[in-house]
Amino acid sequence: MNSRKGFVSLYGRYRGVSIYSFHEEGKERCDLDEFFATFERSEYSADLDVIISLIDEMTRRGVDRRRFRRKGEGSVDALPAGLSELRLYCFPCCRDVIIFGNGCVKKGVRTLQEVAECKQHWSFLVALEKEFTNRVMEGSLYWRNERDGFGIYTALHGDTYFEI
Amino acid sequence: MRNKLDQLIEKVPEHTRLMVAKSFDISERILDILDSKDMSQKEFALLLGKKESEVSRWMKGSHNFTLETIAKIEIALGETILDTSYKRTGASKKILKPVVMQVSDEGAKYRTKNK
Repeated sequence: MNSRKGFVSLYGRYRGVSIYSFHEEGKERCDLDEFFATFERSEYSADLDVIISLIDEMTRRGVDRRRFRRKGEGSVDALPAGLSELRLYCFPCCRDVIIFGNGCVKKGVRTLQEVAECKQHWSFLVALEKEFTNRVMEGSLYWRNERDGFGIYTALHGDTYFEI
Repeated sequence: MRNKLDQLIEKVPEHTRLMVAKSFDISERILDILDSKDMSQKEFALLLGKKESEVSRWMKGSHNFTLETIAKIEIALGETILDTSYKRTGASKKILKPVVMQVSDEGAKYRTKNK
């Protein structure tokens, strides 16, 4: 996998959650917008609507860690659209912060490892989460409570530049 | 400035939005019951004869639960998940018209009762 360089930056602030995504240097869109652009007018647009509704619910209710399954050491998980094959990868950081990566179509009952595109997006986010968590542990990345029109929220500060 | 997500949220059909909201409510109710019983999702899956991965997928908030599945969950947990009770007076008067049944040689015929 070629390395990707870019920033984890704020995508949007909502009442219940702050959404972050990885924005690769030189790319027009961040990973979340790349996912939207890929599937917005595709045969999976109805499935995309379900995933968007899921995110919409999170923006009001916040991130419930119980909905995310820890696999191994990390907490990268996929948002599925019901029984659909469409997947959007993400990892929750706390009650009001979630980081989204890109997504893919995981066709059939094949494992993640068998679908190259899925494996690529998944592996990237797993590596990003690992480095992200390390930086939080060592203090070069940190959260700070701030206030805006929605109230108090958790804002990310520090070294948000990654080469994964 | 509105981002792409904001724009897409506005385009989501109302029934999809409502389906996901209800799925969130149902899965949240299940998660709360599991917490109150100190039961893991793995134990819950075992109780239902399902894989943990399937139950985990239900909890994401976009699963289209069938009534059969909800009934099985309610039996397994011994708790009500869906409460559809409502008072018969009030709302029901506006929706339901009284019906009388006439039985003839041609079989049963139904008509709305005129007061």
